[in-house]
Amino acid sequence: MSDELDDFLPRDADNNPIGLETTQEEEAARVRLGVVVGGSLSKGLTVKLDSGLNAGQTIENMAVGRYVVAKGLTERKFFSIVTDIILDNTNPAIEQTPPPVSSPFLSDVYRATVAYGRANVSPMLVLDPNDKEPRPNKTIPAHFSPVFEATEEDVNQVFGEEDDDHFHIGSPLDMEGVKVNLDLNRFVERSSGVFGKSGTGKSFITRTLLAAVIAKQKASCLIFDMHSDYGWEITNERGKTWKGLTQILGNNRPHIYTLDKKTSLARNNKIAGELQIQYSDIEPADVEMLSSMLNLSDVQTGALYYLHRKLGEQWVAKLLDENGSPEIEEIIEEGMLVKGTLSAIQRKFELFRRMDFLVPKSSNNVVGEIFEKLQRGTSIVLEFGKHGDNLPAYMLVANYLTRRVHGRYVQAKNDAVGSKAEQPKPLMIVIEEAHKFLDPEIAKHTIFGTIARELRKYNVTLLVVDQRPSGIDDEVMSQIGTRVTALLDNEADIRAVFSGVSGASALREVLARLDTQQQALILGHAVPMPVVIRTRDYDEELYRAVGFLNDTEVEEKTKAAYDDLW
Amino acid sequence: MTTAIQIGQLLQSSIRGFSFGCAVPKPEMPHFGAFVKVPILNGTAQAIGTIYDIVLEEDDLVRQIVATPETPAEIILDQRQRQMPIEVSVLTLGYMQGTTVKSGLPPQPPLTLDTIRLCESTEIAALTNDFNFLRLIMQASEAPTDELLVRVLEHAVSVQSNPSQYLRFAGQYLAQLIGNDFQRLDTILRRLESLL
Repeated sequence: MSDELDDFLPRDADNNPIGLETTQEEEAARVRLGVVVGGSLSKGLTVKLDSGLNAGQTIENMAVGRYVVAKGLTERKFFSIVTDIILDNTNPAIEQTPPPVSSPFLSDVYRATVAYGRANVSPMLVLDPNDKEPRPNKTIPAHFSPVFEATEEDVNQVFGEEDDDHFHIGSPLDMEGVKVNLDLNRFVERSSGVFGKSGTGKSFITRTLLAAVIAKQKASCLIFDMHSDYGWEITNERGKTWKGLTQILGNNRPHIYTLDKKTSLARNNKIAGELQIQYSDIEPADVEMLSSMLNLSDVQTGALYYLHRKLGEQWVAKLLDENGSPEIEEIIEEGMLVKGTLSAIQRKFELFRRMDFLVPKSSNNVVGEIFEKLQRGTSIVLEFGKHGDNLPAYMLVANYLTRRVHGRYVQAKNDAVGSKAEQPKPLMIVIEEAHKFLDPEIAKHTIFGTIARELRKYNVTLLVVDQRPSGIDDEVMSQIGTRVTALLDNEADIRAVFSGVSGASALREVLARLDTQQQALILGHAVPMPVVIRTRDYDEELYRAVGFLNDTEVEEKTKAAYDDLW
Repeated sequence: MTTAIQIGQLLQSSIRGFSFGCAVPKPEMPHFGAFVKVPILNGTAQAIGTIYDIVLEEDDLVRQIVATPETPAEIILDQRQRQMPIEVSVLTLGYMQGTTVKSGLPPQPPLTLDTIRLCESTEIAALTNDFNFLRLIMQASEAPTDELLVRVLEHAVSVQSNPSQYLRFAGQYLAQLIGNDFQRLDTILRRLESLL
């Protein structure tokens, strides 16, 4: 006797079950999940899950974020993502009188018929047999189109092959071995974001993305490395270590600069230089970004520009001078500033004394050096060492450096347009705690807001890493082209991640149900459709994919190069 | 030549069903829900149906005997040995041509005085492997459908190798047919569960 109810159904002349004519060879190899019974393009499709011997299993084996393919009547395949799973019934009376637990017979019968599973799926792309590339979805499959689990072939068709422009970033859920490849050119083309609550692996995802961008030479990266997560070796609380970008990227390795030489050397980091900032190099605009953190009032913030104009480039040194300065006395006497305002500013500037990378005088020109390296395609990691937990220090330096590097890029770009000179190498600036830089209050006035809004006009984009995307200005968020999001459970943060993304609201359930580790939702410019992935392991295989060679291999390579030479 | 047990002769027929008569006493007297068959199409095919009613007509003699106080046993025995026809009603569920069994109504009704026989196990299995027969029963307004359904399935399940699975699928098919009448469905399913 057969194992399937279908075999007991009436049959047509060819002995196929009537109403279930989906037994072509291609489909026979697929796992059928159900049929489309309703829906719309804007709200997604409703799929009635198949009953049969394992009706309950079909429901429990579904998962939001999983890929399915609806096979339309016109041979088109609608590549879709599961956004919700629902228990439904044909007769509400069963909710009032459910079968007794002691009766598996009744449960089995009802579970396959009166009570059934339903899935909401969001069609994303159309795979047309006549097209090589998947196309954006503009229609939906007809009623009763069968829905199958997506195969490896389907996923590969959507996400393309791994090559110099596409980097393997992870695998779809439950499809280990299938590669989801990120389009790196599109990733660096616009500003991008990595979001997720604390402890969800943002740093690992970011490190993987940066390794790919740098290894494939898609952009130079300027990484403001708050907690020394990117440049050199990282150790977790259980003592496990992972290599940093400088250790794995071979000839493309980024150069590490530090604000805290002592700590960096103690970690055995190979540093390229120490960043020191002269007081005289600090401009009011560098400090203005810290106004909320320093609790500077509007009057006090405005006074900074006056003081800079009046005191000259040594304005910070003079304000910090404990012996006082005649010019300051003069300002008070002239009545241009109230003494209380000036004293408040001086008191708040005391913070700078604890930032030992701020020095009265420095002989190095690290800004110029960094710009030159970025222009040559060398990425830079700026480690903060002991200043990593000092948010004002992080913001001051990131703002200081970015303003100047961006200024030079604007100049270089304008020069290139005028004289047909070489375009500046694309630059991606990586900032953590991004909501502090891109807060709605200040985003319109800061360099980071400017960069995010101007897209790639001057070949400079941002990679923002943050756990509170709701704190980022809406206008800036709408300009974030690619969003890589690990688990978020705050409603406002989830809403923020989907701002400016059409049709993605159905994915909110998906995002809220990601695992706490190694799972992320990627949507936007660099992927053809939103995709939930198990992120690629940051391990030896990845090291090798981005050019890592061990000592023996380096020796062999050197010897081979030497032999070739002679 | 068929060896199936002969149980009666056709009295009247239609596409949807037929009735036949048989005498009392008969040890093989048909049961409610049993599967029977009768020749159709000049004997080239057999209509298959299930018994949904058995009627013993009254007559004047029985009325007089009933009126007699303390009827002697020998009179009751005499009465049982009279050639008094019992009328059996059958609902047609399918038909058989050669070795092929099809569910649904036959192209022609059987003819009067044709011989009715009990179906053999293989024939019951062939007919009931397709649950379409359940639909025909549910649509029969003249029959006590819910009771008949349970009894027919009891017969059908007795020839299946995996009775519990068979009953589960039958239950699922019924749920598709009458899922909107939950109370009725639930009552039938609980009866079916008792067959396990």
